[in-house]
Amino acid sequence: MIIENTQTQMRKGILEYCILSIISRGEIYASDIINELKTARLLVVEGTLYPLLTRLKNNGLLSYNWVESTSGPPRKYYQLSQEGFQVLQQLDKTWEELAFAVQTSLEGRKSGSKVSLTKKVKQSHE
Amino acid sequence: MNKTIIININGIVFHIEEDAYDVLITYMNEVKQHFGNSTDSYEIVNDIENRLAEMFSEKLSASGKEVIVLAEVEEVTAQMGKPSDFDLADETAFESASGSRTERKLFRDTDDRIIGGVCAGIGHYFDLEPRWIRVLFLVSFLVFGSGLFLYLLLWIVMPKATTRADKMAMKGEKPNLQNFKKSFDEEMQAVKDNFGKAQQEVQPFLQRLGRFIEQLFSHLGKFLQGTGKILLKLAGVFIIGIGIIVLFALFVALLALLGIWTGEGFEVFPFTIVNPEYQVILYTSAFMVVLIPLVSLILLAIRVLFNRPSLNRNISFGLLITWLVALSTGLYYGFKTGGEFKEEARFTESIPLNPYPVYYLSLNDEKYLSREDSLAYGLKSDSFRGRIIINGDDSDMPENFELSIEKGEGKQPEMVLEYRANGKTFQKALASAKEIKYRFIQKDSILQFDPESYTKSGALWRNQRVKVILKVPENTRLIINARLNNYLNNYNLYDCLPDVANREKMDGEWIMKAEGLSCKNDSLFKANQFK
Repeated sequence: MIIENTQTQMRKGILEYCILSIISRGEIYASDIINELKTARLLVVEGTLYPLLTRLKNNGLLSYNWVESTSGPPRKYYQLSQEGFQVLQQLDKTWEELAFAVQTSLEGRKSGSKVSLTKKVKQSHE
Repeated sequence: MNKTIIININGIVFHIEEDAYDVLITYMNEVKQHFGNSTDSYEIVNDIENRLAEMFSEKLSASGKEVIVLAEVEEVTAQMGKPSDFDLADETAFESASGSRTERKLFRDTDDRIIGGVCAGIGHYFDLEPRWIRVLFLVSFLVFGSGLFLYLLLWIVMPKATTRADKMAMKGEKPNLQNFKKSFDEEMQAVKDNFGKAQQEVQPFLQRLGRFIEQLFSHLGKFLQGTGKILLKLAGVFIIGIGIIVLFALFVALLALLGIWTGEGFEVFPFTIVNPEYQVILYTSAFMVVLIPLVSLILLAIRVLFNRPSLNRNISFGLLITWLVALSTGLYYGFKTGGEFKEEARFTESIPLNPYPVYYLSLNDEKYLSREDSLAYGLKSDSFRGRIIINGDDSDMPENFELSIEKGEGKQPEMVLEYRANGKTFQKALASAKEIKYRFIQKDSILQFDPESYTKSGALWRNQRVKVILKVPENTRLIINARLNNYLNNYNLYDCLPDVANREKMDGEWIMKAEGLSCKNDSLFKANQFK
């Protein structure tokens, strides 16, 4: 249970960050966002996306246009608002810091384990 | 061969097989239920429906078929995901937005209930033990009785905690996976103990007293829970019974007021205030204003008694709207009726009296008018064997007769009758004033006054009233009965009476002087003044 909790905690912020970055590239349709996320192996079901998009839109980070579609009802094409871009910039910075932190601690772990290994080797030699 | 159904998803028409339709509608209901409480629910559900429609269109045009079958519905809903699957990501995302602060929500806790779970819910909300809330409510039941009303109100207003997320919001726990597990474990634990939560509260005490008493108490608890339910049901039966009787009485009253049986409305004050044109609408709306809360109360009692689900939201909303409409209609016609009292008119009539040195003034004791008088005054004479009862002291009409005694200008005593009435316009008011009849009897020097004036039968009550001004020359003596005191507005008759037990029916002797009426016996007057 603890591991699942941590996994969710990790994923939840990243999901929003990824969605904002995908939309920042230009107008995009919800199912295209899904495809992008699937390629990135972050999401499985489409239903997750709609409440999230609605919330981001209501927070003023996104706006949308209605575009007529040949294969069904009109589609909502999302784009980032001015505020959305600002938020994304801040998140970029945060992500860089986090990535650095993770990178550093991972390297530390790898080199740390090497140290202990060499110690063991030395001990066995003695 | 399969039956197909035509459905319309946001303006696009599909043919769908019956079994596929069943799956789809169940899925959509789950989705709606899942987002049911959030403010964005409508928009999200719409987005999902639109996407489903699009996926169906794509699938149909790809396969060249016309009808959606079960397999396609399953594929499409799998792609969209189960509501329980989009729950997790959504809820965690919400948490990141709102921070780690958790707000407690007010729900009824039906797991830990004695009656409706109101007290337990309040306890969770304020983080107090429910038993203290219960004690407070019990005290308010006993002392004021008003607590009962508050309890019922809260019961109606507070939603029941049904889902696990509700229950955790009620206890102020964060709805994340860890807590879901915790809550699930707790529920399993509760199932394992086959005692209810109510008994768990007293368990530390029970453990000290040993197994025997524990069992005794658990039986007692069950017994109390049982009787609690019985009491509640009895209260329900009582409310339904009384409610239905009142309802029936209201109906009968309404029909009687509208004159269903007699063909005409009531001609008794205060029903004569309302213009017949407005009567039907005003009585009906007043009836609705009382009826709707009563019906809601009965429905609530039925709900409690038979464990029925609460009223459909549309029905309760409809009832509320109807009530508001009835209330505003009632108020509108109420004010309209009030407007019919806007103008006041009066006209006077002078009647010369035969001069006497002494007059005996008294109230007419006769309790009814003769047949002749009734006809003369245009009253209905077919009831009470041709005589109409004068209500007199026990009249339910507002007072409509007053007497005043003044000094006349010349030698001729006279009686001035001043008729007054209200109406929407001056003409209408004057017409009503002219309809007023007043009877007084002069037998030689005896003047008898009726305690009230009359209007024609069927006439509306427009505050018709009469003021009788008796003008007598100087030095005229007046013997006035104390029973006129209630109607005489410019003197107090008791000023001229000795302070004895039955003076309400005694006669006092007065004399008209240059400065006005004064007591014949000066010492008596002074004694009364200095008391």
